Amino acid sequence: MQEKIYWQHIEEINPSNIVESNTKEFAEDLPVLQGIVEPISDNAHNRRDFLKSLGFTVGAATLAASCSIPERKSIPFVNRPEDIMPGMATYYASVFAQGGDYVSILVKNRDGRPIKIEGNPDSIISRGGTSALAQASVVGLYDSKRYQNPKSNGKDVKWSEIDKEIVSKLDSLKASNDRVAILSSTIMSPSSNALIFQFLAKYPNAYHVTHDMVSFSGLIQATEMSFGKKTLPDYHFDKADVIVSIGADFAATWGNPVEYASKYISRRKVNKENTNMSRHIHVEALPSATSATADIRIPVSASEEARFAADLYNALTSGTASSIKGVSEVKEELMKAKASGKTCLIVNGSNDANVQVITYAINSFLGAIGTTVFVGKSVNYKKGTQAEIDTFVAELNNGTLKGLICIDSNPVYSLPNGEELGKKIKNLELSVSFSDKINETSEVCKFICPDNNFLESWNDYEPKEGIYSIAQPAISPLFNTRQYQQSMMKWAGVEGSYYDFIKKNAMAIGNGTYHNFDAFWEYTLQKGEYVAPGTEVLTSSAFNGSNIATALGQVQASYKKSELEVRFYQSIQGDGSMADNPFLQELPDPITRMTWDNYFIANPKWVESKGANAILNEKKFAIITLKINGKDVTLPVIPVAGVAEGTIGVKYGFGRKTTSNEAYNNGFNVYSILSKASNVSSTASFVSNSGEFAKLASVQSYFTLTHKGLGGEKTRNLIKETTLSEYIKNPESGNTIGGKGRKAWIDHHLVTLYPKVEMPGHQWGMVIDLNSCVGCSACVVACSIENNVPVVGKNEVYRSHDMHWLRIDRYHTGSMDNPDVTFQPMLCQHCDNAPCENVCPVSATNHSSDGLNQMAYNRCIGTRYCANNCPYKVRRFNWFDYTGSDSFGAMNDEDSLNRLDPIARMVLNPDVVTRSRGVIEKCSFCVQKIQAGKLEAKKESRELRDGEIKTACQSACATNAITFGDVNNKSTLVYQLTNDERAFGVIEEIYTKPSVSYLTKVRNRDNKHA
Amino acid sequence: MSHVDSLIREPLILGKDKTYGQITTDIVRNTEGNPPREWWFAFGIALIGLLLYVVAVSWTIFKGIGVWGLQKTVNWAWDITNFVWWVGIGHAGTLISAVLLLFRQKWRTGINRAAEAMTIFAVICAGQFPLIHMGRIWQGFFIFPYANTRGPLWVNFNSPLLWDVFAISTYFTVSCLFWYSGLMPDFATIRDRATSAKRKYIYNILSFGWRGTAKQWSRFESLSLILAGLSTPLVLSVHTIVSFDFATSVIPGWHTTIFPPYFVAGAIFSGFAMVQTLMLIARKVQKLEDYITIAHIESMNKVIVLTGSIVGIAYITELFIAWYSGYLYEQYAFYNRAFGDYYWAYWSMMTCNVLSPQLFWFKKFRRSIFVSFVMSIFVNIGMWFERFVIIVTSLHKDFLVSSWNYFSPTWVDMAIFVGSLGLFFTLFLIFARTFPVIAIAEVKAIFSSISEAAQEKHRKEHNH
Repeated sequence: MQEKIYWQHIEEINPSNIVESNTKEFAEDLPVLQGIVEPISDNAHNRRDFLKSLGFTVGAATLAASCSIPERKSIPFVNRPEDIMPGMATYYASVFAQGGDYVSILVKNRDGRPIKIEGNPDSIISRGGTSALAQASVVGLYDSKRYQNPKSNGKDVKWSEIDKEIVSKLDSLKASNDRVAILSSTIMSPSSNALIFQFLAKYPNAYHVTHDMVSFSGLIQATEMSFGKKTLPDYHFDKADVIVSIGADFAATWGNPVEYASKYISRRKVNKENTNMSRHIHVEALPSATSATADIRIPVSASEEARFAADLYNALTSGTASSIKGVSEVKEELMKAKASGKTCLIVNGSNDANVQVITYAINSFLGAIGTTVFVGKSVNYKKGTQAEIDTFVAELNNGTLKGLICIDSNPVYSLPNGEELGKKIKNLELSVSFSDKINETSEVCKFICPDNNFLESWNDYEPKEGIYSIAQPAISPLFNTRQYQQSMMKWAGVEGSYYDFIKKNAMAIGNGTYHNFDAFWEYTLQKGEYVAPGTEVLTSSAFNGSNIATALGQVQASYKKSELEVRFYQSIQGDGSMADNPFLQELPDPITRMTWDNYFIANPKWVESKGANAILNEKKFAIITLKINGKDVTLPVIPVAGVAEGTIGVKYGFGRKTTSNEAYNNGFNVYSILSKASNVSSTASFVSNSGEFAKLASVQSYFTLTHKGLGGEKTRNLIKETTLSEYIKNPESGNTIGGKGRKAWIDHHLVTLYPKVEMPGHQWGMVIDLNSCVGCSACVVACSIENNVPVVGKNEVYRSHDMHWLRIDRYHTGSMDNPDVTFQPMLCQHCDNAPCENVCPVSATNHSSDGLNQMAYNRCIGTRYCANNCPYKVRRFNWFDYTGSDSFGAMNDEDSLNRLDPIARMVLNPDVVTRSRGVIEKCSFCVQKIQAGKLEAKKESRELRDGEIKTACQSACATNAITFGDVNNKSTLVYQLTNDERAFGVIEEIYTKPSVSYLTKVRNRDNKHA
Repeated sequence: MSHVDSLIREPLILGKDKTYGQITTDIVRNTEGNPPREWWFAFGIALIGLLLYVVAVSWTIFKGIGVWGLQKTVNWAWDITNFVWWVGIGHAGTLISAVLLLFRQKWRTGINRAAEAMTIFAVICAGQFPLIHMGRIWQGFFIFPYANTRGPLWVNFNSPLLWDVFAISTYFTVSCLFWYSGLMPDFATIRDRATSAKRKYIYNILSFGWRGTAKQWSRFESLSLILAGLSTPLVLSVHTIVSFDFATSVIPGWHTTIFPPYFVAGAIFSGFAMVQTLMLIARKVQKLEDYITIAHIESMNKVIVLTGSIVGIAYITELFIAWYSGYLYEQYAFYNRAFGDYYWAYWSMMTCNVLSPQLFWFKKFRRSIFVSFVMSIFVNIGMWFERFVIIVTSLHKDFLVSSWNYFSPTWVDMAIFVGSLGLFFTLFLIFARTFPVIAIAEVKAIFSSISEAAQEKHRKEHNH
């Protein structure tokens, strides 16, 4: 049957027309030449013209529109992992251990990516606190400059190939019985230690050397000499009524500062009910973060600091007078304490075994052994001793050593004369580096077997005997890396994975504590730490004083006062192993407030005497040369109030030569000039003042002592202090405005015609205890990482373009030689009568109904009027496109810090927008966390619990200096503290009504020191 | 239209055998023919300045405000200094044309045209800075209260910056109207003298077809009065509002109730100085000594010494109040101004603005062209420093000692300032060659109609 044809037009059934239209595509001539050859007729504007112009317009518009906002890819889950809910964070207990720090952490994961480190509140060591290093460590994971493959002689190879090569080398060295050293920093992991033991069993020609960059060799040795046990002592700062620290910056950098600070500050908090505050005397050559919280600070020169313990011991035991200023004062304090039955604790920052033996003797004399200092269960924060290093260096130099395996250590950087050693290492038959990033040592090693980042690894830790923790990976390895333990297992011929190895080891520990091993394992994995029964019971061996006489003699002989001395120190920026972390580079030193560099610090008088005064307005510092240990060191010198006369300070951790980015290679490597890896001080001589200046990136100009007004008696209402005895008499002591008590002054003066703004529901407030802040700056890094605050680099900080939302202001009062230092964490005060809000022409900053001063970044046009009108100067402007979030794409082509690298951006918190160029940003009280907390409560149909919402700075703080919460709710801690007699607002007399209150600093001392 | 001179006063227009025709020729001559070499030279320099401005501003917008010397403590410096400086300069024109018109000061006619033009160009320069100092200039339209689809999203009517938007735009609009309406008869004069058809065509359009009928003149006079009445409060309000940018803040050194009158006096002071600078050059180059006479210069100098003294009193009052307040922060702010890191700026300001104009108490100096010119430059420098001192010294050391900082400009800061002068002079030089720089119609109104012989006779009779 023929199909029916449906037609609609006559042409369709007219065959001739169809044929014609088939053969001739364009029924009419194309009017291409129209207007050129032939004149345009009147009716030339036909359909084709229309189409032509349409085509042109669309084409042109497409072309123009193709210069569009760059596309950003986001990849959804194809199969959602079972325990991951997009947009919800998960937390995994793990451990951050580095350079002696042990911090039990919770790794915050968002969509499979670790983005933040939080403290683990269940830990009995770090007790929920963190350090700046721990906070910043997450950034190291996303460094695209990490080794992405194993390398043999500089070429990327397969793991199987490199294993074969290394094993054959190891075997041949074993056959010839040539020495192989395994050089590591302190390994707190029992499984790793067991593994190394097995490795050594397989290769008996090898031996293990522990090398801590900042060594505690002296203290370990002294413990062995005095107690017969090679370990660190267990200090309990919370048990001490009187603490004397001789050059030990224990709350910020010395030992395991997170543990020490938390325990120490627990006895420094005062309120009306509890005034049992410890007394802290700090003897030191260089001002430190810890001494800022001290009650009495005694500046002594570096050699006096070393001899102080000896002289103090003599004074205590035989009443011998000392030439060192302060010995008699400390003696009196201690004798008084001893007589009244108070507990004492002496810590000493020296790394000389003799000095530490004497320190133990003083502790023993004062009855501290067994009350505040315990040498019983081993403490594993640092294990390296000088003797091991000496053997290693000797063997490397004389050629006995043929092989070297470096675990988390960088001897070319961190050993004296490292560069010379580097040349030797280059000639070794076998040189293996496990470093995950390029460093001075990996550069000279033949084989690079990149280790996983700690957030990609399984591990276990035993920071102290009886405390066992498991570190679990929070992400699978980003690159083709392998945990070093796994590599060692392979080479030692140990079967299985390292995970199984740990588990097997854990069997011995967890045996019998839970109803089965799995329960133990699960529990420990979840909680992060397992504490063996009986660990709380502290016992100590008895002190054996047989070495005291020799020690005293040697100390007197080796530390003679010289005209100029130099003291080496560590700052919160770390020992140098994390120098490739931009967040640490840009973290201001709590005392000098400098970033990105090291330098000499010296007493201002000395600086002046050498004609090396700084041009402070321009942040220019004179470059001088000193001879230290026979080597010339040229660095800028910073005058720092409180540095002992005749002493120069210079800090470790800088002067890296080989890092993933040149921007990190600033300053001078102090390790390279040490005579011994364990020395903390040396004599020096002044060589010359170059007459040149270095521009340093400081964030706070130096020498800004609290300013007195005209007439002299008025002080800026920024910091308030009192003494303990005054506080007991009157809790509001020191908390005055214009000479009157604060509350009375406020009631009398701060009256307004305007109606009170009611805030029904929540009203967020914060209280910061000036007594608890030790300046460790963990909060600063935590804030930056939580809120995607960009790192801007040395030059930008130099130009005062630093972006930190939270800074720790440092103020001096008193004399230039020995001032009191006070830290004041300063952040947006969320004023209820905010000067910034009414001046914004576009209402980009405004007040929420729950008391937050908010920023609508999208609305901000960047007039910066708010920043000018902020009395606290906490608003930060995006001077350039720091975050690559500019709507025009990255205009800031000089991305020297790899901020725009897609891997580096993986650490960004998806709950917080990155800010584009030209907008103001500032502390939001972690509004994203407030919202999350409120939502959580809403979901569970309950009221918010006090302390449920914690800001990033608050949760990072090891000393609980920061309290946050709802001041409308009278049952909250923040309400009580806000209304405490110690609470005050900074410059509140200008009626900004800040939501942040500070608690007056209480120093436990007599008025003669005030 | 004729004007009767007092014989004991100096005539407002000098020169022998002046006729109405001669006046027209004297003034319009400058818009006809090719510009002289001096003009091209000046215009070339101004254009280079303008180019510098374009480069520096483009660089700022391309890279970000970070290319300026600003930082976390000092968030405004040269940008807002330039803004206030230019706005201040923009005060003289309206004051001369409006206030002096209302006060029937006939001498103003010699200078009002150029002064108004200067006002408009100065306001154009001033208006640049609030825009380019924005971090996101491309979102600058947010400052306008426009209806939008984002719900009740309005500008912040509490913000002095918003008041600025209204104040400056109103001032600019009214100044333009005033200036332009005055120009219409003069454009017609140029048109009538024009020889080429193109020129005739252009000036005819510019003159809005002015024919000079009695009705038109009558309306013209009324319009002048109305606009003068409208402008007069603006003279006071604009700089009052600009001063609110500072006065309503909490920063010591800014938070001052004296600012409105002090800023207005300062603005008139600097505006007259700028008019003086320009007039002294223009009268020489364009051979207009007969119209812009020593008497004009002297009158201007009198205003300068008056307003300079008002400003001086304001400075001293500030110091007194700072001491009298007993308020630490205020005291420190002023102590820091005089003796702090920027003492040199403060004392430059004091010297230029308060001390040096006191010379004008002496007639000899008031009537000296050289002294007047040097002084006008001094005042311009001094007034720039005044704004710099207010802005930078108050900000760089405010409440929290920890944030104290020192500001230094970058090349971009300097290029934008110098470039804005280029913009100003480019506009002014174009104006000087295309527009009548003296209000022809108005100046004719003060032309003495008594013949020389009659004057002579009159003098003899009265023994003058």
